[in-house]
Amino acid sequence: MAFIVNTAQYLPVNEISNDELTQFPPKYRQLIEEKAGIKKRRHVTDECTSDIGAMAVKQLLEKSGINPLEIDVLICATSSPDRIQPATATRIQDICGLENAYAFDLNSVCSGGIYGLKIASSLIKDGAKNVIVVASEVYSKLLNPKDIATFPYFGDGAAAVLLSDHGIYELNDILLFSDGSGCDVIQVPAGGSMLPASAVKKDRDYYFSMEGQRVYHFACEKGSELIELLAKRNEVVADRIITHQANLNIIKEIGRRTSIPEERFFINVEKYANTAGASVLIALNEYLESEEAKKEDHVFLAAFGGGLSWGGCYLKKNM
Amino acid sequence: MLNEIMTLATDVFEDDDILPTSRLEEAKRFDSMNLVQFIIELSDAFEMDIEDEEVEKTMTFAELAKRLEAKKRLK
Repeated sequence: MAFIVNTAQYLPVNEISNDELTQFPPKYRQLIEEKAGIKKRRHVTDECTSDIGAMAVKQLLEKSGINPLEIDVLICATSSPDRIQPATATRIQDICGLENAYAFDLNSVCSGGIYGLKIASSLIKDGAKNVIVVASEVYSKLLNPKDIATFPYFGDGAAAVLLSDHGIYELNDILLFSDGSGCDVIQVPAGGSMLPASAVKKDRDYYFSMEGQRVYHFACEKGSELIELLAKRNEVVADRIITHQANLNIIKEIGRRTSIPEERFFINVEKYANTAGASVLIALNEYLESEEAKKEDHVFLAAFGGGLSWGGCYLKKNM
Repeated sequence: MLNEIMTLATDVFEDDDILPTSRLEEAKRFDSMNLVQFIIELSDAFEMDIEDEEVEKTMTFAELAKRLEAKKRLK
């Protein structure tokens, strides 16, 4: 079996409140909190995705008291990589001195953290001793700063998880899903082989875009289904539910559909906004550092995002 | 003005197929926040204060152009 040994996070120090988004008229800034429960977010200044990912990994190594040379695998879940190639994970490997590891990226957008846990779990079962999943995202550089439909709702951040064959939480059940018919719903159109730089006609194509209404309905539907499926398959009532932190209203709607009180959901979207693939692991880290975690044994994770992709996980405290 | 509105709408709603006779809410990526973005860009482009109530989702782009042209004439 695979277990979570420890978690860590890194958020850039540059905190930006809704009022500081002065590119938007004041009357619209208040909509941001109304629409998504977001009050502020963190943005990098000069750093890139590997820089903040490496900060999270360094904190994880220090917190866990493990030698970097003991890490066998580093998986970086990111949808805002440093460059199209090579893998962002390789620069994190170099910065952190993980000389005996092999490193690679995976991109399942906001579900990336859960996908990373699944791959890491499989590698542990395959014989790897210590695997790190780092989810790192710098969306502030993918977003059009003048677009009120996207820019205010995302932030930058990273979280790292150390997995091994022993630890504090057993990864009991991990479910992954995708529906490629929705591959255009959330996207950065330009820069890849479908729309290379030489063929771009509109600057907007370099920026992140999404169909807001469709994403909202997808997230509420799949988030609810995941939680109900995890409860049914494992015959357990979760003490705590940690979903992707995209929008407070999505979390509330998932609670309504599953008849689970809002108090049982861990929520930090108001502080960091949507940190994409990193959000569920940042929330997991903050939860594990909280007093509540000491008293609770059963945790569900659920994430949903571009692809379309979604995934969930049941974490059971190792008694 | 209609041509400028159509150019802005095509860009904001990422929809090359909308026509002057299309209703705003029929645009491909229409949602409440993209509508806000559209109003912000209209206000900038035509250098006028446009209230949310003046841009109704059920009106066509041609009707919107007429309304904004009338407002500009009064200015």
